[in-house]
Amino acid sequence: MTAVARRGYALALGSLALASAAQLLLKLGMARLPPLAALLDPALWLTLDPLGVAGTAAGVACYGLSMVIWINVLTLLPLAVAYPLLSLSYVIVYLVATQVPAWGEAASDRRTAGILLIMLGVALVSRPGAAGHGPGRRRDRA
Amino acid sequence: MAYVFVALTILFTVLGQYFQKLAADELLVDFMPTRALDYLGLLVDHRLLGALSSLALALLFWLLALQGLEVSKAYPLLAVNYLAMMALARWRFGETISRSAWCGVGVILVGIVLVAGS
Repeated sequence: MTAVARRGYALALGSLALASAAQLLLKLGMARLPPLAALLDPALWLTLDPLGVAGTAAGVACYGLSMVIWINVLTLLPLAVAYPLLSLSYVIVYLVATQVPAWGEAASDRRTAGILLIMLGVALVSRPGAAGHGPGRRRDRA
Repeated sequence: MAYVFVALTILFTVLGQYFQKLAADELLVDFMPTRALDYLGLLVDHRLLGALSSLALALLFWLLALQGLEVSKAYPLLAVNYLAMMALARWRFGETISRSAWCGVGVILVGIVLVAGS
């Protein structure tokens, strides 16, 4: 494996972990916050659950960081490798959310099958030459 | 209501991608800054502002969607984005989409139907 590919895979794993952590933190955080109507009322802002606010903020931060790293991954790995790797985050989120009591979500065969199909589909979509992997039609000087 | 929020998340994600693609094609391809002021122009460009505000709205609706749905169910539903993006690439930007890519989108949709019904 070349140094560029190694760096690409390492960063992809980091981005993958952060993207999954982001979803899990956002879920925990938002579960502790009130519905939209209450969130829009500034008078209630000081009464919000600090853990809910912290979890949601941490989730947004992980999400942003994962996107920044992801852009770097795209310069190092082919799209046909990068996108199927990213779809692994569905599996990570599913496993953590169903196996860790803090989330306590229910696993089911249907959901497992659905997530596996989605991953297979993403791999097909990302195959080299599957879509226009070039710059596409240049709108400004076609 | 949670599913409406998921749909709005996808809508604004796609809109964000649309503005990003416009910005990349029309703005950044020939972007050769000579002065600091050139960067300031980027901050007020309607395509980049559109991209940023779309992504912010998508995130907001996603937070609301998570309040009503399990994350292990809601998160895979976002893969509808692949279909939307492919349609956008095909019909708005004139890109060619191969048969295997359309098949991939079909497989993704079957997976989404399974997850949604789980």
